[in-house]
Amino acid sequence: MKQAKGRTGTVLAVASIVLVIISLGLVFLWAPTELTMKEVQRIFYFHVAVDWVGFLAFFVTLVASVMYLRTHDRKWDIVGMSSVELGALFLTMGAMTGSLWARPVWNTWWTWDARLTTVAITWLVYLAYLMLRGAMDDPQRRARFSAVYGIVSFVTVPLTFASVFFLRTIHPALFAASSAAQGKMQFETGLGSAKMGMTLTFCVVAFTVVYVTLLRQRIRLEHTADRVARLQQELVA
Amino acid sequence: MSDLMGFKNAIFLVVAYGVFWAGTFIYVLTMSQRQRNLEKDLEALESLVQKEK
Amino acid sequence: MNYLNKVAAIIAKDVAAELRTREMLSSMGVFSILVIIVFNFALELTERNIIETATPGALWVTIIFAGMLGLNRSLSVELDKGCLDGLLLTPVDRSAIFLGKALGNALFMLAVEVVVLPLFVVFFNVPFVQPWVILVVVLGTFGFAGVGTLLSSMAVNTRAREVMLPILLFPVAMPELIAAVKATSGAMMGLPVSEWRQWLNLLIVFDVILVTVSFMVFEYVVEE
Repeated sequence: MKQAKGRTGTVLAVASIVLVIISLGLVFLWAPTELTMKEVQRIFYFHVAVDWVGFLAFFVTLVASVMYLRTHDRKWDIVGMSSVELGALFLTMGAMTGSLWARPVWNTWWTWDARLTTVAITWLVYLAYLMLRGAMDDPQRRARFSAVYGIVSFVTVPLTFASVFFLRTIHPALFAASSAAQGKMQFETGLGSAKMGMTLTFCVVAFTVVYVTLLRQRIRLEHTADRVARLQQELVA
Repeated sequence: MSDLMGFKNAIFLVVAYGVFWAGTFIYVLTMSQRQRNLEKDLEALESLVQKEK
Repeated sequence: MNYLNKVAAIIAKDVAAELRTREMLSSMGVFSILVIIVFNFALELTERNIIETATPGALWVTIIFAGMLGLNRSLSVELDKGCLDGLLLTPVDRSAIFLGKALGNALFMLAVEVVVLPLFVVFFNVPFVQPWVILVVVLGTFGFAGVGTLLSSMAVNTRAREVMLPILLFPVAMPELIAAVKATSGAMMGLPVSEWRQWLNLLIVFDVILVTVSFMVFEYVVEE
């Protein structure tokens, strides 16, 4: 069964590891030190990258859901489910690292601003999706319902962001505490800001590759499980 | 003074990266383990099916 | 029978069934009263400005909890009595079934709100029974009932049944809830519409998007 992983899988895995190592190097050795927050700011790079992937995963699930409803092909169901699992993992890590960054910098573990609220809601949607699947036995129905929920719940992500964003612009007083704290990051030189941008971009790319690698692995795992189940059926029959 | 703050806050930095590593590590390990178990099952089942034939 | 007649027929069937027993409406009503009383003690609504800030939120919490009771009831009854299967056997467009059920659920929620709004006026002395507030409540109800009907029809088919609905529905309804609460707040305080019009607009946009998407995917939920 080794051939199932294939060359692409190995290449991706190696690429992921290499990219992450380079990212670490960039984050800790190349990126400039922020003026007010000092070293703690370095959390930012992985935090944003992980959050970004967490949302990208939802988009993948959306596409997979639509494709499933159109084709009724199990492979799309697997993609959708795997992406949600990974998305949930990444967003959990994103939220945790975000908290660990917020605490020393803003003196609070959490704020209900537009981005964080959207992260929380998206996380809840992922959880709901997985719980929905967990509560269903019939594979076809489970796939159909998951796909439907994947589509319907996707809209809540931009809508939640929009509503909290408006809340913020219309009622800035509500967010005064975190607003004041959420000042921009500052670096000593213009080059510093540019380096920060490049480091961030690199991290985002690196994590996207990690996501794709893990996604393929998860999908492959599920296909194997399917084959095991089919063989078990065959033997029983 | 601000250097001291930088040092204290470094704990958060370390823990944050720890979270990331732990999370990914655990996930990859769990997946590999499941994959290995499933492949074992698969081989066993396939040989059983062969015997039946 | 044309499309609208079919929708109307489904609504009529649900309303007639409910009028016979009044089980669902009475439990929704009683539940709402209980929630309001709990809020009264939980939130210590003594000072005027606290009352004004907290009651729009309390109102919507009451509405959505009672609404969920109704949604669960409405669709699990369909499942238990096999009515949905019966409906599906007839040559009715699936989307008509969705519209009929959703509008019926909205109607039941509105019936309960007819009681809830005056109760808020009585208990908290907040001006909820006025045209703008009523408009906001109606809009929010339709959106909630729309997507709620879709998700409830899925939830009742799972092992967890009624418990599944809040899990599925809350994150999805969240933006609508936020907009509804802010709009209610603006309307209740008698502010000129221009000041809180963004919330009203957002509410309408959310409703349209959520109901349209629900309308389009419903057939995939009931197909066999």
